[in-house]
This record gives sequence, structure tokens and C-alpha cells, in this order.
Amino acid sequence: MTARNSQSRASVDHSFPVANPDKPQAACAILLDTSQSMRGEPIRALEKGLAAYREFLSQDEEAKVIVETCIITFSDEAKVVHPFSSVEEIPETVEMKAGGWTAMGAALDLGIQQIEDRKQYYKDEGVDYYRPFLILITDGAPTDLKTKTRFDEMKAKIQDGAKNRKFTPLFFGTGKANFEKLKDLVGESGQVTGIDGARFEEFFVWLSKSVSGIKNSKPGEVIEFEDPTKKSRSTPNPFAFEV
Amino acid sequence: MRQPEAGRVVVAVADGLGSRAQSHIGSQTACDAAAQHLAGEPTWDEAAVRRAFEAARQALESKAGELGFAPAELATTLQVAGVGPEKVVAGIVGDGAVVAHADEPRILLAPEDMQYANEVVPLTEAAWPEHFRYAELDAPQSVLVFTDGLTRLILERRKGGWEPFRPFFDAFLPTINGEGFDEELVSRFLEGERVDASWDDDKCLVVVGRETATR
Repeated sequence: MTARNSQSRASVDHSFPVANPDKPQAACAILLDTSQSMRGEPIRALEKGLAAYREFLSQDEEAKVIVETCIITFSDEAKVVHPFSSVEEIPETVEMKAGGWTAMGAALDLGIQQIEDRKQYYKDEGVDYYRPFLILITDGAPTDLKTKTRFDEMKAKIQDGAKNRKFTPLFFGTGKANFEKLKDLVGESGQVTGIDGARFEEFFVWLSKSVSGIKNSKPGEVIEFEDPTKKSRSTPNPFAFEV
Repeated sequence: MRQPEAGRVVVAVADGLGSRAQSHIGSQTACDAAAQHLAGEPTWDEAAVRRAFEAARQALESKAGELGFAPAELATTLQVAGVGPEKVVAGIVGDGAVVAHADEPRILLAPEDMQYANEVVPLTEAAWPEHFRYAELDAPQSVLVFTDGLTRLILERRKGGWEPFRPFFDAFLPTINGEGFDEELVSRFLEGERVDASWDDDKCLVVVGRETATR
């Protein structure tokens, strides 16, 4: 018996045929509140913010093949306006209409279902994946979680999902959002942050940077977003505030 | 790598977790201890391979204590193979894989199925014995032991599980099972453009082949 051992060094154009695997995928479900209170400037700011997210990730050669985004809006009902895809497949402008109630519970159900379906797709296709993100952005309070039973069901679904590492919940509210309800839903399992509804673009650039950071993660590393309220230790992020 | 006697080779490959600052020390320590232990075992079987992993784990704890770090800072995976004329025995904790060629390439130990891509159970975790896996195969012609950076390139994940990526093995195996090794074979493969660029994880490959009677 003899043996040979070597480690990778410089790049030389010589190789045996190797498989061409997909990069591990990071699924990111973004749930956007498009209820009546978002009419006018807020919904336009949200559209611009989403366009900034798309543009930022599209320019990152590695992140754009890793991050898959699904966009869900919720008002009287929740609907998938863009299913999971690479960021380049998201239209440059996703037009949204504001109006109606705030079916946040339906949106969370739909977002979690979309994540589970996508994970199953990755499994079927033999593609590795990171823990998905469930991102909620709202300016109000849920109007479809009014009974205690329904609220507690949703709370358990989110907190169990986070505890069992099915997804990472990240909730964001603009000034008028009911932060107490959001914090109650997430509990200790995720984070709730305040954001300035007029600065959605800056928020979405931060979000795209945070999501794309997963490309640098190593086995065993726990992926955590940096505190959105802080740009650095001494500088606050202007778009975010603690709640 | 250790060669306790002619015809027997012990190979140990470890991949330190990039998120841990001292993992390069951990991977070296685990390899040295496991290879030394298995080389000294009179009989190679599952119990002997498990003892080699226990020795590696013990060495990690000692090294961490000596340097003043928590053992977790030396977190590493470990794959060990003992290749003799009659059989190959292999053990693994973490990702990476062991493939043996006996008539056709067979995955002896596949990467462990974890829920997410960035998760792995290293040897420094208390639960490592539950993640230890063992396999053996009679009369292998060659054995390949490699780290996670190569699993997606030379193995394929299908619905039924992992399978060798045949185009690679069909091209690679004849070159190692002929009249002897090309000294530069593994280096050339690892330095190939597609391998070097395709995955950013560390890549390490050890190939053990049988020399023919003519050489």
C-alpha cells in the first residue's frame, strides 16, 4: 500500500470531471403589510426599499446565487406576490396596492408554509440549505389574531418553529406598529425592531447585507444578524430604533 | 498518515471548524492522536476505530487545557481509515466522506445528514459518540478519504441518498489502480480550476491504492 496526500493550492487549469453542485440556498420569506394605513407615501417607500434590496443583492455575485426570496403581501388576505426565486428573477418594480385590514396571521401561516415547501424542494433536489428567514414588516397590528386562541396558536407556531430551528423570525415595525403584540408573538425566539417607514431603502440595504452575510458562514457557525439599531458600537443606524 | 507495517496504512483527515480560532490546532491534534492510536491496535475492527476516536477526543481536551482554551475552540471533524490487505475499516465524526473501490466505487461513509448546510457535530461536542459512524469493506483496491470541500464535487446527492459521481471515479480510479501512482495526481486534481473555484471550503484528499506486483 502507498498513499499520497495533498492540499489545495493555486488554480491551474487541469481537472478530472467533477459534479457541478448548487450552492447551499438561503430562503428568505419577506412578509409586507399593505393594509389601508400604508396608503400613499409608505407603500411607495416600501416599493423603493424592495427595489434597493433587489439591486444590492443582484450586484453580489455570490449572494445572488445563494439567497432565494419570496414576497408575500397582506391586507384583507395574504398572498404570494413573488414565489421563491433568485433575486434577479424578482421584477425591478413590484407594484403594491395598499388598502384593507391587516391579515398578519394569514401572512405568517403562508410564509411558514412557503418556507416548509421550499425546504422540501431543496431536499427533493438534493440541494443543501441554510436555516430560512421569516421576515415581517408591518405598520400596525394583526386584525385576524383577535381571539386569544388564534393568537396563542400563532405565537406557539412561531416560537416552536424558531426553537426547533425551522426558521429564524425577524419582525420589524414602523412607528405606529403594535410592538407589544409583535414582541408577544416572537417571545425570546427572535427579534423585534422599530424602523423608520420613510427610510425603507436604507433598511432594505441593511437587510440585503445581513442576508448575504450567510455566504461567509462556516460549518457550525450560528448565523446571527447584527443589531439593526446599531451601525457600529458608537453609531446608531438612522433607520432603526429599539422597541 | 501512518504505516505501522508494510501493507497497512492508517489515514486520518480532519477539517477544523472555520468559526473556531484554534481549530487548525484541533484538526492536527485529532489526526495525530487517532492515527497513532489505530496504528498501534493489533486488530482493526469497530471497537479499535472507536478507541482511536476516543484517543483523539482525549488529545483535544489535553491540548486545549495545555493552551488555556475551551475544548470547543479546537472544534474539528475527523475521518479515519485503516487500510490493510484484507479489509478497510473506517470511522467518521462530522462531515467529509470515505469511498472505497472494490470492483466499483462505494461510499463507505457518507456525509452526515444535518438539517442545514452550515451545521456539523465536531469531535469536541459531548454528543460526538452518538454521531460516530463506522464501516468496513473486504479487499478494497483503493480508498479515498476527503473533507467536506470535496463531497459535493465527487459525490452526488440524490433522493435515495449519496452516490459516487461516476464521471469522476470512472476517470480517476484507473489512474490509481494501474502500475502505480502518479506522484502529482492528487495535487493536480485539487489544483484544477473547477475544483479550486467551485467551493470555498477547505479541500483535502488522501488516496490509498494497491501497488501491482509488477512495481
